[in-house]
Amino acid sequence: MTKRHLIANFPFVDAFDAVRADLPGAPLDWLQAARRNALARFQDQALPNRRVEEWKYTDLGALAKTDFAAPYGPIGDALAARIGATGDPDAIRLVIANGRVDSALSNTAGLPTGAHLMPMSTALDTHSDVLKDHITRIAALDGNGLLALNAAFMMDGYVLVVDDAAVIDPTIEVIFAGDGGQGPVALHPRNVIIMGQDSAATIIETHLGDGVYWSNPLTDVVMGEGASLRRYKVLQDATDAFHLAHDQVSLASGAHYKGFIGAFSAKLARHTVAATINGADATFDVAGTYLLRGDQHNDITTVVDHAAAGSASKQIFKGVLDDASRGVFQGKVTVHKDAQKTDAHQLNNALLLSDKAEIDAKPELEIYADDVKCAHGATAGDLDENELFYLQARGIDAAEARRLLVSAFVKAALDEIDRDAERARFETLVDAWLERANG
Amino acid sequence: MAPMLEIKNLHATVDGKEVLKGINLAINPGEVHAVMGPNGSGKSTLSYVLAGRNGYDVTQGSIIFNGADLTAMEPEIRAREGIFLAFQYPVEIPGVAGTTFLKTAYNAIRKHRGEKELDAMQFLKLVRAKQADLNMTDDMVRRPVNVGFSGGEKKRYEMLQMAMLEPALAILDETDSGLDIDALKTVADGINALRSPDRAMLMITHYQRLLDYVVPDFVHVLAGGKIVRSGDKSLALDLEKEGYAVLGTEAA
Amino acid sequence: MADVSETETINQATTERYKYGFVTDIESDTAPKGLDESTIRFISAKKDEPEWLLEWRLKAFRMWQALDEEEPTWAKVSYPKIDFQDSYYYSAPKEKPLLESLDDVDPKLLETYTKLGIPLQEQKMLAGVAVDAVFDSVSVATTFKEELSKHGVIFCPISEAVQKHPELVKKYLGSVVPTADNFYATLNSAVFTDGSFVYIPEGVRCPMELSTYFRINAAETGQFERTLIIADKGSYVSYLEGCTAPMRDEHQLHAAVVELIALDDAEIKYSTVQNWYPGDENGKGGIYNFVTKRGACRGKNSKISWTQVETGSAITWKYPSCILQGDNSVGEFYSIAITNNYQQADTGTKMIHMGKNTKSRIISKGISAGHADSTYRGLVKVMPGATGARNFTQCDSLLIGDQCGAHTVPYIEVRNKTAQVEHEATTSKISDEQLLYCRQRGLSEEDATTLIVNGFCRQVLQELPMEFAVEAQKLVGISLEGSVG
Repeated sequence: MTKRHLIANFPFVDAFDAVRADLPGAPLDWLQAARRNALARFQDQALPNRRVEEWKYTDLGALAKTDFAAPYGPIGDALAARIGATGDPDAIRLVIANGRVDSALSNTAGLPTGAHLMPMSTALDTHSDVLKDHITRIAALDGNGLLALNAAFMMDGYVLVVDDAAVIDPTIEVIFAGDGGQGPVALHPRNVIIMGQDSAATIIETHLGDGVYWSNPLTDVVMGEGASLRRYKVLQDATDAFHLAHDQVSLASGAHYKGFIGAFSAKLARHTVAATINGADATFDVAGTYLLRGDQHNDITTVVDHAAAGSASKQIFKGVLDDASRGVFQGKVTVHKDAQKTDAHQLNNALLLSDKAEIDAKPELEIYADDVKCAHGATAGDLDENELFYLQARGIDAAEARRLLVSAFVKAALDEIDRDAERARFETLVDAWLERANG
Repeated sequence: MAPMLEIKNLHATVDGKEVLKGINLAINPGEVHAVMGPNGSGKSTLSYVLAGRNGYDVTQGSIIFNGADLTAMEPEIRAREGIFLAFQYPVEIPGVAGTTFLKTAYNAIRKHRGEKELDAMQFLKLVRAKQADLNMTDDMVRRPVNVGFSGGEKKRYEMLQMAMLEPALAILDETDSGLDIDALKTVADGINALRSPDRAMLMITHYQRLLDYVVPDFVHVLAGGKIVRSGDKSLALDLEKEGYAVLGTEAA
Repeated sequence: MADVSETETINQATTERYKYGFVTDIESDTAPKGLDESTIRFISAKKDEPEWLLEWRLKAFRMWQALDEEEPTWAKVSYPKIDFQDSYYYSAPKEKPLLESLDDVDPKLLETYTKLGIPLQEQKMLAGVAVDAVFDSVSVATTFKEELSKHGVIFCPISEAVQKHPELVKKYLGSVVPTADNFYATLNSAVFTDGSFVYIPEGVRCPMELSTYFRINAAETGQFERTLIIADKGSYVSYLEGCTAPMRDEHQLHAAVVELIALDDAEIKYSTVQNWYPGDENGKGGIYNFVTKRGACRGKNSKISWTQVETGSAITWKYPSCILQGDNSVGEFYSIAITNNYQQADTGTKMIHMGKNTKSRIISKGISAGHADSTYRGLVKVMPGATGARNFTQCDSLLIGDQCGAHTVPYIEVRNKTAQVEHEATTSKISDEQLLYCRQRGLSEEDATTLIVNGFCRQVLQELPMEFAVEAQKLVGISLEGSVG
């Protein structure tokens, strides 16, 4: 058979026995066993290469060649200062730096009743029974070597539990920082979100860092009946960073998930969003924008499974690609046999601003139920010359005209964010990206 | 002689909810009946029950059409037996040429009646003759069924089909809705041209406007799933003046 | 396309099953079962081929042997592993007819073609269709030769072209679908038996439509034909291909290769009505149709247009593609794929934009009924040099019943910023409202379904030449039989 994986000899993998004592939940026997099993799975599966259909457009070769070590400890002062300046300083916040909670930079004092936010290490002490189920279930996902690695080296991430009927209004802020200042490091944050019946919450994650690091976060979201979650991701990783995220979302009847991904960074990033809709009247919406330059590579892969009748999903992505950057969008919607009356929409629009930029899109529908409405669309192209000319004819210079048009193009995705403060935050980031384009 | 259509104590449900609650109505050949009533009174339900739409279930009572039990028939058999429903909202069928559609229907009905099917040339000649009366162009008749038609064009196309298929009983469901005065006159002329001693008509309408042009022999008022009053055309005029509220029914 | 009688269509649809399922009792000359170098030497010797072609075949065969475990698995189809040694690779009607006159053709064969409705007879030639008929592995008769040769058009079996026009065959064979292209193309290169060859000289508009009917008759026989069409500068040709096979319980493999070459300002229109035996309603028997079809728009302003109506075969695996090399060249793909019972189809196209201002258009209509699975798989690729490239893709799927599947797998790869690529896809079922409307006008549910499906397919049907459009509309009805009610 043909080889379908990459050979990688990561120092941190070899150091498994040395590092595991420092990882969260060390005293838990079941967790140690799960870590060891996962490591064996990684050694069997390794990293996928491009012959694996789902990885056709994203090459992990450069990642496989980097000698990642386990993180070296606290982050540098400059990075700490940047974390301090991120987001709303008064917000409820949890900071995960180099795979470990940073209590000094965190502040969860204002958390309303009904919401429980803590780092994984604490949660394993206090909620180990609840988490055991989640961690075991995720370990059983038939994924690839990346999931196995996260399961083996699971580090601090956040655990958010919202009680039944609790409606949490203030936005919860979580910041992930990676510091490769002392050499490349690999981070495997694990997040768990458990939304009780009819609960509601909003969370915004920011990812940033310095130097060469690899963030491999795995997030498990379980939404109870009627639960509602808004989850926004801001990706401002370092220029030389690797970011390979996997979200696993399951929705019960009447649950609503609204996700947004704003990708502005990293050398190589892939965001896999997998959702299984298990109940009627549930909705899964995910939107996003990726603005890339240099030789950045950003891959958004969505896998939405409609496993119950009467649910809906919507995806809108807008990509802007400059220089020699490359955008990938793979979206797969599956409608299972009994999922009648499914309404699924998916759209990816990409703007190519440079001769060397590339977009690869694979919007996929797999449908086994007949009474459904499913549609997808994908476009690629440059800005409309007529629109540009029209703006110039009104006295706007070419650069400004381009900026206005790109901003308008991205807006359709941003408009999916229904909280003003968070939308404004993404708008600022888009504007900043465009400023640099003109600079 | 037995009536052409005899509805007795008809109860019907839509998606499990009872909408018709005991309708009695007899229609003889040559008669034009108008059924009026406020929104939600069950007018359109009655037309769909007669046409045999899925999900419109008769739970009690009977519908006898020319001596046969209508409820036992598939929709296409009812059509071939002579029941024509002019839809309130005619359906678009992309890609299917109007002429092809109409010819297939026409020949299916002829075959059922034991008549010889027409070939393409004979059929086109017949359509041309009928379409002229309704101010329809060749282009309109050939276009995919109802696709891109205005409201008025759709209704005229329904009338053309009725003229071609020569039904025994024509049910006109809100045929006047959405028409301007000129279109209304054209459609009414089309209906009047088809009045004959062998043919009965059941006009379902909210307003009495159409009844100025197509004068009914009988007017029935449907409210709450029952016929609450019957009379001649003057009943329609009373309703026009007084409104449905005067009937003391729940809807307006 | 003018209005054709759908009434007849519908009437026939209700009475016809697979009308091409008969077997013709003709003695055949067959190579021993199995595949090794001697099989290839046998085929080559039978055809009296020159040494270079034998070498070409052997090279392909060795390549294929090395690929043995590499049968493609990415398509969304499933079937038991094929035992390539358990099949015949060459079967020819024994009394090999002379090609000069139809009178010499075995009457039983002519009868077969009459049953198939092929205008092989003199009187039908007036219809203006020149026919090359491929029966199992050899081409039995080519009509209308004289008229064509007046215009310099070469239309003959490829085995004959190898003898009479070796320079053209040598130059173009394998130039669009290289021997190493894929598992089945490699196999075909080793064992291809016959197929059509067309050459349209510079500036000639082929005076009639050219047509090939393919038929698999013998049992346990694979058919591996090879078609090569070259449209020289400024020429035009419309080529029609029809396929049928008898009903047999075992599966039969059909692995053809079709190569089209359009030079400057030339246009090739290639239409297929594929009606290989699909197997019975329980999925027993039927053809495995694993075909590689590709056209190269080599010259500027050239155009290649594929239109296909795929109603047959147990499994269809087929991606008629266009390589748009010449500036301003145009590629089109119009497809209807209907699957019913246990049929599986994984079909689509590739449009590779290389030249400047190249344009492509893809219209795909997939219909699934019964327990069938239908997949559209397509690639639109814009290379860095393809400034001003345009693509529009529309894929619509229709599901009839809740036991079938419809899938859409487009790949869009754009590496030039001036490109404009648009892809749209929808999946739906026939609406209850449409069905009621038709039935209220007296149409049975089955006839209404056929009518609505034909409407759904209209954008593609209207691309077919008239006589094919009529046949295709009939096939729509026949293929959907038993899917409603």
